[in-house]
Amino acid sequence: MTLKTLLLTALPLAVLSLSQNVGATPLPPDFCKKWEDMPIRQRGRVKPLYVHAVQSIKYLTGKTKSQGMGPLELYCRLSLAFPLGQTPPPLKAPIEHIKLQKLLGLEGKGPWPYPLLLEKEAQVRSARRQEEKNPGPYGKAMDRLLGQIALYQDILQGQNWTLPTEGNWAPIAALAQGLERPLSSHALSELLEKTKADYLDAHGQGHLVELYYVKSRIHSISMGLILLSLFLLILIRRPLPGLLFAGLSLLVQVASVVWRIMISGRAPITNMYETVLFSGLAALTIALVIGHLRREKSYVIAGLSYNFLCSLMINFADGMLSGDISPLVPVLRDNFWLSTHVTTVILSYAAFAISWILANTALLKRRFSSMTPKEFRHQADSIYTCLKVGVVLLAAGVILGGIWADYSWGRFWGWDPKETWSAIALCIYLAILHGRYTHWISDSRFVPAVAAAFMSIMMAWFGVNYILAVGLHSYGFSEGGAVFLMSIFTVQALILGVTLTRLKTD
Amino acid sequence: MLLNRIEKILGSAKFAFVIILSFAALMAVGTFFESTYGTEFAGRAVYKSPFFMGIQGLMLLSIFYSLLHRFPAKKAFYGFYTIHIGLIVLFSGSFITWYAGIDGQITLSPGTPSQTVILGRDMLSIVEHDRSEASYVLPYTPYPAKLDETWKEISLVRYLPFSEDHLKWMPSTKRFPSSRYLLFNENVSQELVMSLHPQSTKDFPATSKLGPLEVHYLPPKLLPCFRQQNPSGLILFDTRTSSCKTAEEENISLQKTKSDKRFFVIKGDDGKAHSFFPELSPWPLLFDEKGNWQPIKDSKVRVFSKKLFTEGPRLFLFGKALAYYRKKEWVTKDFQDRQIAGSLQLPWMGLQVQLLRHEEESFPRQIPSYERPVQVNNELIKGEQRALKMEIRGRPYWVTSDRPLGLALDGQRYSFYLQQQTIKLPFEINLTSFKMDTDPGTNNPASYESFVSLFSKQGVSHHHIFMNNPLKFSHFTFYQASYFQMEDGRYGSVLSVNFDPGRWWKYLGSLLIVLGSIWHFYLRRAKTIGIRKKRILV
Repeated sequence: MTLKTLLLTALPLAVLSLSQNVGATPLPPDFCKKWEDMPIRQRGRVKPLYVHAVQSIKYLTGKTKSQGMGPLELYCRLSLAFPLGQTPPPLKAPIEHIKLQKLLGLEGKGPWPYPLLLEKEAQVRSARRQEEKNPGPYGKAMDRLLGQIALYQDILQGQNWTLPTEGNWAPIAALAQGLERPLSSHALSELLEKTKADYLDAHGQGHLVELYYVKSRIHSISMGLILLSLFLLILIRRPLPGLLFAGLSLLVQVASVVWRIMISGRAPITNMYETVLFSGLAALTIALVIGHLRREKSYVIAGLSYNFLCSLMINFADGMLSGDISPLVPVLRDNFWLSTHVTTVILSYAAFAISWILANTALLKRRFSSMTPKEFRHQADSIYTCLKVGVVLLAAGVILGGIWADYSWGRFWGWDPKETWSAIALCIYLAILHGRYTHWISDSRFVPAVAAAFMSIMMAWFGVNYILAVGLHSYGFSEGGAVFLMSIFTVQALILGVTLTRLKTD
Repeated sequence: MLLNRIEKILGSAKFAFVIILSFAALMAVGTFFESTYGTEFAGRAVYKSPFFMGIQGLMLLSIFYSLLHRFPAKKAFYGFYTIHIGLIVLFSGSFITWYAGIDGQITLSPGTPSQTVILGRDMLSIVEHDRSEASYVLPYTPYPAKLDETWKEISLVRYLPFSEDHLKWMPSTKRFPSSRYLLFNENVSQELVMSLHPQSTKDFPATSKLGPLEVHYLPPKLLPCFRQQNPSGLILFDTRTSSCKTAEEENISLQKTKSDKRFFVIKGDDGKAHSFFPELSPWPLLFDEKGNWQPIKDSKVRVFSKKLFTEGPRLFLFGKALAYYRKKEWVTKDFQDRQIAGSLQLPWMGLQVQLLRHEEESFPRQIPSYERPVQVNNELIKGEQRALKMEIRGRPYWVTSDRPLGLALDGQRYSFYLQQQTIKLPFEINLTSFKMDTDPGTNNPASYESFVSLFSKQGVSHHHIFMNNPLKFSHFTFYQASYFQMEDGRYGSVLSVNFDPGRWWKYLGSLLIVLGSIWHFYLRRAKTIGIRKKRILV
């Protein structure tokens, strides 16, 4: 750390503590823990402080713990550092982009302390101005860093932690101004207690549902159950134990979705995180229904496998999928159309996902294990069943989208990339079905074609947001994800390459 | 025989397979075009191109003949018939919308009734004294198009749907100074082209404002008078000789009015006394009995008061030299005696100025040239301008979407506008107020709402339009599309205006497709189960 950095960090602290809070007592170790259920209004919503702390600290540092402190502790101590004249916890941000590292004169991704990054803010801002039109990763990396710095400063100055006061919300720094000097943690406690009690009197404890949801670790439990049911179905000949756990996992997932509906008051399909969550649940439901009707556990295994992939993304891909619940853009504020159009489309994606898993399983099994032509034909038949469900649902979903667009924007079809890619995916699956009817596409072609066709679904679902990044469906846009999508495309190409080479040599 | 064969091919599932995949591939190309070149380019190049329409036509034929081949009707095909009839109905609905529908936008400023709906096609509009004389709808193409249209003596030559202005130096018959400069400091860099040529002044005016800095481009003949620190600060410019003299050189005696205004009197070229008030006007002033004055604009002598330009950062450029007022004196500096010269330091914000080019026998013009558009973050950053080249009596003229053209032709004054096609609604719509709510504690919009009044033959009616709540009136539907902020801080609203006679056809087609798909797969499932049972019995 340079001398200048030290000065920049220490000087405001020194000035503040000398001028305002001479003799202020340090925060007791357990001070922050008791405020996790404190209501806070941020990003247009009222939520528990703990939830906001997790979101903010994750955004600032890329993780939820630092220096042995949890997110609530870090957020709370950072927010109260200036009002109480305390040293803020030393937060650090990783800088992944190499060009940005070079711009800042930093070697490696760090993580780098915020006081150092604050010193370089003007440099980043000036570079961003010069690359104003850069939509690429470098521009996004600069935007993210500037956003992190702004949030850090906002929290550090006590402006981010808002408290309910007389029907409005005010930053904790402003409310602390009205307290007696020297400011003590006791006085702060009294202030927080009072504002909390006032809020609970006026609004009740509705905001606490989100606290229980975040702290329940329901998605980890669900992932464990999925994994267990998968093992049981694969390893035990009798399907009942596996099915029981699959059913239990389904119930847990339904509970998680209902929980989100209770928090947000809308269908949980408004961003990438929620569509992934819902598609996993939908795939398992469809798989259980078809599996029950066809008396076949292969559907359930495929559904669970896809559900597991979704669960992995929900639990670990938080850089790409944000689980934050945010207010909706105006056009989406129509629960009827949201629930019908998006749900139908995601249900179709789920059906196609089962066909994709079944197709790849058949290809790999035939290539690396043993699979008789009869078994392969049977598998193709199973895939075809999923395709039928998927095609009907996707056609219905696209049409419902058209009717919604007509109702909201005044046109049934506007060649928006999201709707166009949905139509492309539908056409690709229809072409495969037409080819199969004419026997142009035999089973040995049908199965790899279905595996490849799912890439059009991935393009409609993720590609429009992560690769094309244009259009009216901009509320689904998010950072990153192109690497994820390219990885999926590459893996699929490799599977097809390896399994079809065998086919040719045979 | 041949016809039967063609019909058979068109109705085959193999043809359907090829045509569906071609349709999908073209759509995919369209989405990548949109991502790179913008929505308008993608629409012109792919979605609304004749080729794409042709593919859709072939698809329709494929659907029609596939239906025809499966008659007389069989139960197994009931689902199939429903889907394909649904598709034909859907296509018919889309065709009706395309042929007879209206899809445009109406821009409403608060308190200003409007009935003009802007449609998507470009159009050249020729106006004489606010009266439309002629209009031409321009081709819907993504690439430059040759035109073959004439109106009176005017030929429409070339249309550029996407263009950017490029600086070109044109030869001049008369000598007028024009220069290109670069103003820069550590943070900013700005090119500046200025000219005194009459044909350049619209594109490159002689006065420009760069933040707080005012830049004036003056005739080089004025420079000698700027070099002198004459106490009066008055310069007399004689347009006959294009020469300047200071008031001191002309021995002019300055007097003051009762209200402390400086003035002087000299003998004009008409032999009469001309009174100059340098702080009021560069021309001599003529007073009537009531004390009102008006400038004598045909005077050959004009006065320039340097004292008017001593406040704030002001830079005067004279081609190869510059001047500015600093620390109570006028500073003049010369660029090196070369076309590309070294830079000169200015006294504001570390600014420097460099002369890049100076011409007296040619002048700069903005000439549009075709530029494939570039889209970044859902916004066009290149090629947004439309341009049309016309020829009048052998001379080329450009009219662009940004710059209308005004021309005098045989004593008549015409204006040429390159704008989007419009239609007039049979009623007027007035924005009473626009309301935008934000999410609590943020600036993120939560809702847009327009309160409008409609003036029609039936009288006045009041309506409330917001997202997912359109207004339906007289076969038209109005949707909340966008909004804008005006200079006075108030908000205006943009509504989508839609008339879609194919709507119900599309809905009916959609319903048939979905129901048909379910029926079709149900019937096939029954058939498959039947086959399986037969196999078991065998």
